[in-house]
Amino acid sequence: MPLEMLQAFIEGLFLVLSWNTITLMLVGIALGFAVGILPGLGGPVTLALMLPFVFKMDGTEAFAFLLGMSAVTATTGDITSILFGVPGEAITASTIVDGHPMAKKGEAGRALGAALMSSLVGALFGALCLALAIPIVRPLVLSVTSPEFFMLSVLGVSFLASLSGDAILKGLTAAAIGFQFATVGLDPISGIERYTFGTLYLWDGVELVPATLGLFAIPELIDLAVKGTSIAQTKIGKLGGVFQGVKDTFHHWKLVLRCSAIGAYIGVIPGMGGAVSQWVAYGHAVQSSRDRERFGKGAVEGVLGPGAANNSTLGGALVPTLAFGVPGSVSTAILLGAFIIQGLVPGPPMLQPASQGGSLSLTFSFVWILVISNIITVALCFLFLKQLANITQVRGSLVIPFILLLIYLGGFAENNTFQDLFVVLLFGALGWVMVETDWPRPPLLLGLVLGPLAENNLFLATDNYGAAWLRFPSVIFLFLVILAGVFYPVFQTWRKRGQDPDKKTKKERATSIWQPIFTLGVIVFFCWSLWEARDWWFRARLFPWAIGFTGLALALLEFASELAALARSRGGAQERKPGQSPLVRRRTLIITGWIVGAFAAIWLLGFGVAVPITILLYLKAAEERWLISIALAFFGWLGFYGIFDYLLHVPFPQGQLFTLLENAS
Amino acid sequence: MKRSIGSCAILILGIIYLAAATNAPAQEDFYRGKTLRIIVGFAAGGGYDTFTRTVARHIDKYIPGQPAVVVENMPGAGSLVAANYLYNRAKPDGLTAGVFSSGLVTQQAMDSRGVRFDARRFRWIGSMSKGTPVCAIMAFTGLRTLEDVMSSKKELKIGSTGPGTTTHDLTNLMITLMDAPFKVISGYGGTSDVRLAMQRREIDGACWTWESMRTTARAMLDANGEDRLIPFVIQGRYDDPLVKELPQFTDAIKDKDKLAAFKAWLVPYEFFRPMAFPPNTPNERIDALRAALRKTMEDPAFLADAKKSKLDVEYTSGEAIEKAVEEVLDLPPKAEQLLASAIGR
Repeated sequence: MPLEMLQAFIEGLFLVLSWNTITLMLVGIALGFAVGILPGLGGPVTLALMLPFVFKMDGTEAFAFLLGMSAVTATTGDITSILFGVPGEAITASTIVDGHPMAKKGEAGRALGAALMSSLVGALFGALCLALAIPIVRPLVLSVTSPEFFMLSVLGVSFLASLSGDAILKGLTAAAIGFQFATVGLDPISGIERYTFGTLYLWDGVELVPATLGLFAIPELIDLAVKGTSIAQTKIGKLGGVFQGVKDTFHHWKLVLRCSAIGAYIGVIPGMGGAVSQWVAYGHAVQSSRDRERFGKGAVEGVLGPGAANNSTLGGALVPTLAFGVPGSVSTAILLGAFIIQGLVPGPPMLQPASQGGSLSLTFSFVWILVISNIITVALCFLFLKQLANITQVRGSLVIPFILLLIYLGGFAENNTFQDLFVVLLFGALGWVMVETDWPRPPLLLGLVLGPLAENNLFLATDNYGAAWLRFPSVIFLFLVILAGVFYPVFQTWRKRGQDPDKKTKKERATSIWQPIFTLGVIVFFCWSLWEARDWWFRARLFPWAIGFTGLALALLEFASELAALARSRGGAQERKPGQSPLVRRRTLIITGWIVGAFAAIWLLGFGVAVPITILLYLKAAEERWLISIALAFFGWLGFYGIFDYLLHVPFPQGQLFTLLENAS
Repeated sequence: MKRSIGSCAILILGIIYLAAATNAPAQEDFYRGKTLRIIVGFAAGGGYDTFTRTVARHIDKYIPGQPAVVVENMPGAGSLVAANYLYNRAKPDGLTAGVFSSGLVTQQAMDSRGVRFDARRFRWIGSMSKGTPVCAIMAFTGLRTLEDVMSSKKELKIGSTGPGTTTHDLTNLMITLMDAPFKVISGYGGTSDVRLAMQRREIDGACWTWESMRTTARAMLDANGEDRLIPFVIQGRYDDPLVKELPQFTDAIKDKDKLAAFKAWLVPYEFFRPMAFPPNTPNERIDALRAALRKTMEDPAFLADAKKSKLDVEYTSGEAIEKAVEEVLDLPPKAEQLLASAIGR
C-alpha cells in the first residue's frame, strides 16, 4: 500500500506536467492574480463564473485551471491589503492591520516580501497537509461534532483579547457589537426576522465583504486624503527591503509554521475558512510575541501569520471535500461542482489507487497543482514587486479616486446587490469613528464571522446532546486550550513586570470628549437591540440577549473608565488629538463629501458613467493637468468596462436618472 | 477656471450621451442583436445557478434572432428577492427572465411575509426539473422501513438546514400530518453538513430530494452495515432499486384535509426551478420562448452537458405550470391552516 501511494504521488506530478495542463494552469493563475488584487471580487465568484469552461477539459486540466486560480487569490489579495489598506479578498483583511502601517512607514517592499514568502510557505504546508491527511482523513473530519464546532468558535473568540491591543475592554465590546450584527437576518431555527426593519435585503444578514471593505478601507482612504501625501508617508530612496521581508519569514520560521498549521486545521473543519483562520493566526502571532505593543503599527509578524494561514487553508479545505464531498469553504463548495462535472465522486474512491478503481493519482495531482501554482505566483510577484511597491510612492490624489471606486465596485460585485453599498458606507462611518476613538476593529469583524457558527452550533449541540456535551473530553480539552491561550499572555506580562518593575506598564491614553460620546452610542445600540428582541420567541432571543447584556455591561464599564480618565485629565494639559486642527477637519469633510458623492453618482448615473466622471472630477479638483485627468479617467473606465462588464458580466444596475427619464418619456 | 468648468461639463454630458446611445434599440427581428438576461435567485455555483447556466448556453439558438443570453445572480431570501424584482421592477419586454424557487408559490398560498407577487400573473415559460421528496434513516438506528420508523419508541433526530428548505418543511409535515416521532434538529449549514452529521451519528436521518441524495450521498447509500443510509418513504417514480418499492407519502396519509395539505405542498416539486417572465410580457414573445425552452430540453448537446453535471432534466411546460399554480392557490381553508401550522412563516 505505501508503495502504491508513492507511485500515485509521482503519477500525480506527471499528470500536471503536460503542456495543456500547464498552459491552463497559467491561464487560471493569471485570472486569479487579477481577481485577487481587485477588492471584493472574490475567488469564489470567479470560480463559479469559470465553471462552465471545464466541460471540455479532462480531470487534471480542469483542476489545474480552477485550483491554480483559487490558490493564487489569497496571495495576491495580500498585496492589495498591504499597499492600499483595502482588503483584496475577504480572507486577506487581517493583513491590513500590520501590513498597511508598514507600507505607510515606507516598508512596503519588506511587507510584500514577507507576505509573499509566508504565503508560499503556508501554501506548501497546506499542500503537505493535504498529502499527509489523505490516509487519515475520515476519522479527522468525523471527529468534529457540533459541540466541538461550538468550542472552536469560542476558541476563535478567545483570541479577541489579543486582537484588541492594550484596550481589552474595548476589544471585547467591539466583538459583542460584531456578534450582534451577526444576528441580523432570518433566525436559522425559527425563521423569524431579527433586526431586519422589514426589508428583504436584511433577511440574509450583514454581508461580510461590504462590511470588511467599509470597516477597513474607508478609514484608510480618509487617512490618505487627510495626510495629503502618498501612501508611503516617508520617502525612501530604494525599495524598502524585499529581501528583508523574505529573511523575516525564515527568522520567524516557527511562527510561520504554526500559523500554517492553524490555517490548515481550520480549513479542514467544514464551514470555517480563511475568513476565520487569518484572524486566529493573527491573534496567535500577537499572543506569542514578547513585544505586543508593536502590533497594529507595522509589526512584520502580523503580516507573516495571516499570510501563511490564509494560504494553507485551501489545502486543508480540500481534505473534507475530497473525502466526503463536504466542502470546507465556499471555494471548495464550487470546486465540488467541478468534481461532479468531471464525473468524479468525492469519497473513498478519491483515496484509492487506480488498481482498486480509485483516482488517487488525480488526488495527488491536486497537491502538485497547489505547489506549482504557488511557486509560479510568488516568483511572478517578486518580478513585479518593485513596480507594485512604487504605487505607494505615487501622489495620493492620483490614487484616491481609483481606490474609492474599487471599494464600491468590490462591494457591489460580490453579490450584485446595490444595498451592499449602503453597508459599505455604514461600516465605513463606523470604522472611521472607531479609528478616531481608538477602538480595535478586528474583533468586530471576527464577531461578525463567528456569530452564526457559534449560535447554530450551540443550539445543535444542545439539541443533540442536552447538557452532556459539556463533559465531552474533546470539549474539555478545547476549553483548556482556550484557558491557556487567555492566561499565557497575562502570565507573560506579569513575569515581565517582575523583571523590570520600574517600567510603566499602563500608558495613560489620550482622552477626548468624543470617546465617551461614541461609547454612549454603543450603549444606546445595545439597549435598543435588547428592547427590539423583547417579544421574540425564546430561542430566537436567547443569543441576541446573551450578547446584548454582556455587551451592555462591557460598554458601561468602558464608559465609566473613560469618564474617570476624562475627569483626571481635566486638571492637566488636555492632550489634543491631531484630528482637531482646522486643516484636518476641512480635509476630512472634503473626502467624506467625495465618498458620499461617488455613492450618489453611482446611484444616479450607474457605474458605467459614474466611474469616469468621478475620476475626472476628482483629478481636476486636485488640480491635476487635463491630459493626465482625461487619460486616467479613460483608463479607469476601460479597466472597469473590460474586467467587470465585458469579461465577468457583472450586472450593473442602470442609474436612477436614466430610469426616471425613460419612465417620463 | 471658468472655462475649465465649462469644458468639464461638456465632457460629462458627452459621456452621458454615449452611455445612453449604446442603449438605443436596433429593430428588425425583436431579439436580433439583443441580450436576454436570466436572473437566478441564488448565488453563483449552486444547483439553480448550474442549471440555469447550462440552459443559457444552449437556448440562444432556438430563440428567433439568436439573442445573447447572460445569466445574472440576484441572491437573497431564498430567491424571494429575485421573484419580487421580476414581478414589480423588471420590464415586461421579454428581455428579462427569472429562475426562482417554485416553493414561493406555496409561500404565497400561506400569505407568508415578504411575498410581493401574484404567481397567477407570472408568465411561466417552463421548468427544468422535478423534485422527488424522500426521507432516509441511518442503519445504526436499527430501523429499516416506514413502519419501523413510525413505531419507534425513541424520538428520532432529523437534521435540517433551516426554515423554507425541504429538509425542514418535509420533516415538519411528517410530524404534523403523520405524527412521526421526529425531532427537528435545525441549523446545519447545508445538506452536506447534514450528511456529515449522519455519518458521525449525531442525527438519525434526514429528508430531502432523491435527485440530490442519489448523487451527493451515493457513497452512504452504497455503504455496508451500520453506516448505510436507508430511504424509507418517497413521493414519486424512480426505477432505482433502492427506492422503487418504497411506500409513498400520499398513501401513508389517510385524513382527507391532511392529504390535501400535503398534495398542495407537493405541487411545486412538479415544476422545480421554473423560468418565468414578468406579467404582461407580450404573448408572441412568450410563445417563442416557451418553444425555445422546450426545444432546448430536447437538444442532445444540452442533455449531454446536463448529464455531465449530474442534472436531472425533466421538462414541464409553461401551460402545465399555470395549472399547477392555480391548484396550489385554490387550497381549501382547512388544508391551508394545516400547512401553515406545519411550515408557515
